[in-house]
Amino acid sequence: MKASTINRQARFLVAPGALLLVLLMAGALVADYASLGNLQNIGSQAVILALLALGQMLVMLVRGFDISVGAVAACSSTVAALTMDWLGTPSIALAVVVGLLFGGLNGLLIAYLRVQPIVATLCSMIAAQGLARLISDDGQPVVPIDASALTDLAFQNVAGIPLLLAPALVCMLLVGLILKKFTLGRHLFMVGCDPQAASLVGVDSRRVTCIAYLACGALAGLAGAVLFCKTGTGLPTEGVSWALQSVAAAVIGGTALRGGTASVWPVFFGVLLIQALETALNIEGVSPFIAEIVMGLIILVAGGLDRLILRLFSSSTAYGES
Amino acid sequence: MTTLIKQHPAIALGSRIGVIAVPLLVFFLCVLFVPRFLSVDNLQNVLRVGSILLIAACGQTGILIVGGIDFSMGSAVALLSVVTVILAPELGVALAFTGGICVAVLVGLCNGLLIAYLKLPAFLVTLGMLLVLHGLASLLSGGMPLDAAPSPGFLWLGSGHVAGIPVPIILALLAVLSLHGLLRYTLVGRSWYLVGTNFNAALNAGLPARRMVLLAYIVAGLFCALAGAILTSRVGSGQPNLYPDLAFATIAVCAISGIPLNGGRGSAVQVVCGTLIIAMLNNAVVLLNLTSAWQQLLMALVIGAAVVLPQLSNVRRRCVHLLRGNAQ
Repeated sequence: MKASTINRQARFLVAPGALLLVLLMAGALVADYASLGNLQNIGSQAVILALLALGQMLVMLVRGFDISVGAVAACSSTVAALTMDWLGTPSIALAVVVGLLFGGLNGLLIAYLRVQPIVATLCSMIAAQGLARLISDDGQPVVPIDASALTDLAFQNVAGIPLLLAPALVCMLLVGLILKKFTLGRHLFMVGCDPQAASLVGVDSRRVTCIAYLACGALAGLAGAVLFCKTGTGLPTEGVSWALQSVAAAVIGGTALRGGTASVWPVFFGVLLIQALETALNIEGVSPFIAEIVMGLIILVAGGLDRLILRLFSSSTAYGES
Repeated sequence: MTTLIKQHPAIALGSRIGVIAVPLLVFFLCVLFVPRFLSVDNLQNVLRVGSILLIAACGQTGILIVGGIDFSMGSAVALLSVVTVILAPELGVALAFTGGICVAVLVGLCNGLLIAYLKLPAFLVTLGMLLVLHGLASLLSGGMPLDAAPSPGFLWLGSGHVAGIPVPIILALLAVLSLHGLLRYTLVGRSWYLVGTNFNAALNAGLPARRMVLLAYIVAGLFCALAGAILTSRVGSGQPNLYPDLAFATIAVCAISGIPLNGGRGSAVQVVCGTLIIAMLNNAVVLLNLTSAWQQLLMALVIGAAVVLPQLSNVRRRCVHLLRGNAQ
């Protein structure tokens, strides 16, 4: 088998393996962990992170990085909550539109104006935070008069699976399909592997990069809509650590830091891994500060694994590539 | 680098003047439109608030020049403050601050070792550190701010005066001068530029490139420690949420200063100008009685303008190039 194939498979097996390990250990050590109720809980908790990680994976695929996803999600949940009273249920579509706008801004800055992804998304992160504070009462949660139509919907189960998982599953199927079967998906991989080579064979690499950021923004907006459905309020200052968690999930899920390698399902397993670990620590009554340290260590280990797999299965280990 | 070589001398001179002209412009705008801006007390206040950011940004600049990035500063200063306040009753103020500073330098050392020698990506390592250190600081303090026993010694760094000048301003001046000296006149500083421009070329030229990257993170740890010590003394307590956005603020300063994130460029003068712009604008927002939301939106606008405007001139040049028939 070619080295690159082994490399790819090894990196995609990390997340499912680790998830299995965590579930087995937690199931044995933590009381009531392996119950259906708890697993459903993990599933519905994971939705927001799953949407954000999916978007993060798309931009990392084209060598990018988006630290604005958490702030955009919070901002769009605020917009949805503000418009709920006179728009009704369609207000959640507005949340997605807000996400699209920020994604478009990122895409424009990064793909067309050649701004560094970190600076561009830092800029839109600050803008999203500021906008959310401006339209809410300086960061106070926005509570619509009646959001019960959405919150009722959010906590239903269909055949044992939380309905909340539906947006995440649909998006993952869609993105997976596009990456595997559509020209756009192939173009994303090509641009991620080598933007210049992609341009030489006629791929508009700027447009492709811009689309990746647009999709990431839309997914962040959708995550904001889910947040609004779950809580029934708009939370303008939520989501400070979500960008970090989404990066962690994407990296654990085998997304290569140097671009060009990504797959949807391992990223989902990465999300579940983070959520399963957090739930286990939570049930055990471990201090949230230790949970935070564990989260940070996971990010470090994920980076180490990325490096290790690259080193074991491929010849190029030059510094500065990733 | 190609753009640098091609640049017409007049344009190069123009951009050099531009670095100083923009903060001057902001200053005059503030003087004209912001009431109570132009007073000795207020200007001193601007400088004192800006000095902490400036010192931390000096560290970030060194890291950016070698092509890295540091997101962990906000948590490093938090851990420093908590450790300092915990140590203060037992060891005395001076030793406690030394201990805290050692912690922050140690953080820089850890970052540097992981990035330079284990070759992990800088943004991932420092993001991980951001969480780990914040968790540690919260764990040590129990998640609550710890008040320091009030003593003039503890507060001196943040609010003392030497010859009528506030201590933070003097320290910021020293930090900038030492960064300038380091970048301009030492072998370490000069090799940072080469390492940041092309790591492999630096290795091939026989430079200990990995050690240089490590050094950049240690120096940044020192600057960050100084900023953290001033901050701790200023608030007089150890807080796990001392300045969580410090790293983002320093990156914003560097972006506004025109220091690119892909390494090889940046100077102390630029950092000073970038910090002054941010400090004056923040002060103006407060004086104009606007909420923090407006402050954030203004900041986003300024960062956006700072990174987009130079690109626009590139776009225009490219258009002119196309119109002339693309001869070359």
